Amino acid sequence: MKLSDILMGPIIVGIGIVALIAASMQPKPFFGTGYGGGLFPTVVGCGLLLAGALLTLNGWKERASQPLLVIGDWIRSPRHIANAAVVLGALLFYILFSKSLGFILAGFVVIFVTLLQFTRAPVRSLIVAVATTLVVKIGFQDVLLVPLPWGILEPYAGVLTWR
Amino acid sequence: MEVIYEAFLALMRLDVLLVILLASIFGLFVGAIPGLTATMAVALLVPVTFFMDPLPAIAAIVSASAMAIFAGDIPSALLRIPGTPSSAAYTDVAYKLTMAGKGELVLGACVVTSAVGGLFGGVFLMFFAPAVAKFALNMSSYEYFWLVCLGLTSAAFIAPGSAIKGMISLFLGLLVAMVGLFPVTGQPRFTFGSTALYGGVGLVATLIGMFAIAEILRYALSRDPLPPMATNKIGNIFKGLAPELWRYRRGFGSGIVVGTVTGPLPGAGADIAAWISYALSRRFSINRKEFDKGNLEGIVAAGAANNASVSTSYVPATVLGIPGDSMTAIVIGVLFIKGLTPGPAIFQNQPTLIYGIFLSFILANLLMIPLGYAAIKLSRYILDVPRAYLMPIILLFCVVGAFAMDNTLSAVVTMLVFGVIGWFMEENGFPIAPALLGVVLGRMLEETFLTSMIKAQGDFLQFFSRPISATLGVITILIWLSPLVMLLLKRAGRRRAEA
Repeated sequence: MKLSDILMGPIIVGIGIVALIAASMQPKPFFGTGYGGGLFPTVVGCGLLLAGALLTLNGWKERASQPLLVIGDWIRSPRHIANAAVVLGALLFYILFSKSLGFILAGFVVIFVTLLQFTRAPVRSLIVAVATTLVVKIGFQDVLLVPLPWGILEPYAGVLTWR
Repeated sequence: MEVIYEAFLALMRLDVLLVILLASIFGLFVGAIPGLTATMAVALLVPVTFFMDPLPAIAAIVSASAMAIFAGDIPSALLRIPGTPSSAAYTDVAYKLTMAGKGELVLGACVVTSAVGGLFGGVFLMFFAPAVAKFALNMSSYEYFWLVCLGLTSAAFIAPGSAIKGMISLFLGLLVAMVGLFPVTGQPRFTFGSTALYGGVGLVATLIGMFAIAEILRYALSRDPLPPMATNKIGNIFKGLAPELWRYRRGFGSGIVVGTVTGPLPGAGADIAAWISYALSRRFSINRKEFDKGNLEGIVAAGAANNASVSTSYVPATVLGIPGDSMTAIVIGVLFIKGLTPGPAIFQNQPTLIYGIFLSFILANLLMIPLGYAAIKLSRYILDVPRAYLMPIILLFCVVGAFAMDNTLSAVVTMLVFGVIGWFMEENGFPIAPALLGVVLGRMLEETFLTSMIKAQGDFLQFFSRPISATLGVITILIWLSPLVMLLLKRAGRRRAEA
């Protein structure tokens, strides 16, 4: 998904303006050098403003040859759009439900659904998903002691822990 | 010398060696698979290294990155797809030679030149870095401020694509670095009221997002399958290699030199070293006609250069704490997580560690010959691993890896956000490396500036009061002005042409 410079430039300018406004809301310094937390964001905001303007100018010069928006072939393939949607959806699902479901269940769902979407082979996806979830669970939770959430499996934590 | 011996012993511990071996295999695998870059290998390694001692942690990153840069040559020769961007300079020639039945020779040359280039770089690093450190001990916040400026500007200007987009990428990275508590007063800044952002945006989650999640998204949307392999049979890759290497010894040597010199430069990574070296070896080729038809000369030169530059890129990273490319930026992040501040003092405070890191380069590049040989032999199977299975597995590792750094779900959110941003930036031709350097160096830039200003009591001219600082400042400002000067020169030239 490639935006032309003439569209991208104003977006960057916008980010620059937001940065400048946010910087101006920083508390003014009352001791030391007189430079507060707003100084660097102001510099960066100005930089973005200037660079965005240059980009827009570039886009304007090349407006004849640059299409406004180029989208890859995937836009015509529902399967590829679904691919990306599944990846993003799986991550959102994990963020929303890993606490209540626990890593083992939520992680399994993430990998199984993505595998199924990418390969369309249910049995193999199931095997790979179970194996990977197990490896990650043992590796990170049992060996490296990362406190992955247990969720609803908490009552069985003792049985499910390897050491 | 005693320090080196001690470092050697520390490196030779069985667990450290095992970590290096596993990381090497991991690096070879990731580097050899098109679409998985060396930076991604390192980003995925960080959550695991988090739980190790500093030496094995950095040694793992060192060996994985060196191996991945070499392994990128394998799909170049066999599929005409560079495994990592560093192999892109000679992908076409390598593939052409493979099609002409010289695949074994090409792969043999790749592994030997990579190992030798990396070794030279490693030795150079070991003797040059302490000298730089001695010099750097005299530097104060003024010099550091200019060095950070210089590093960031070069990163933005050298990055592939348009310089404006490089600058924008850098500014966006700096903006992200501003999130968190303001270092001087400790007031929250740009945290959107979330306490999770008080410590700043998590570096590792950002990395995993930009380099792994973005790549998974790109795969999800890509419609072209991998091409078939050029050859299935790979015999003895070392047969007849020595005379060929001897014939191109000049290209080989210049490749090593170019790589070694390019490595420490800010903003220039292994890929740029390979491009420069390839172009130079063409320019000074012993037989230009044959070079253009396709022979080993360019491969030998560029193959040595990219690995040499991986080694020497650790000079500014370890000695000054200023990374030149995305991979060393990650190393700096890891050192900070380990509670170690990279800088000239590290040679006094942690001599065993720092020499251990340097020695791990030598070890990794020695290991490259047998492991690389095995990887080439097994390349048929490695390249056959279906990416449709690999990507979901990587996705789960990303989730857990991001979470493992500070055990919060907000890291997974950060990873997702930066994954989408990284994908969008790449699609629109914004280079990622300047943004990453901005994120890593933003704090240092602000801190060195504010410390200097407090010391100078607000007098900006103090930034030019010391000889080194003044020189660095002038160079930096000249680079800042260079686009303007170029523009004016171009205009003047055009006017003269019209007149």
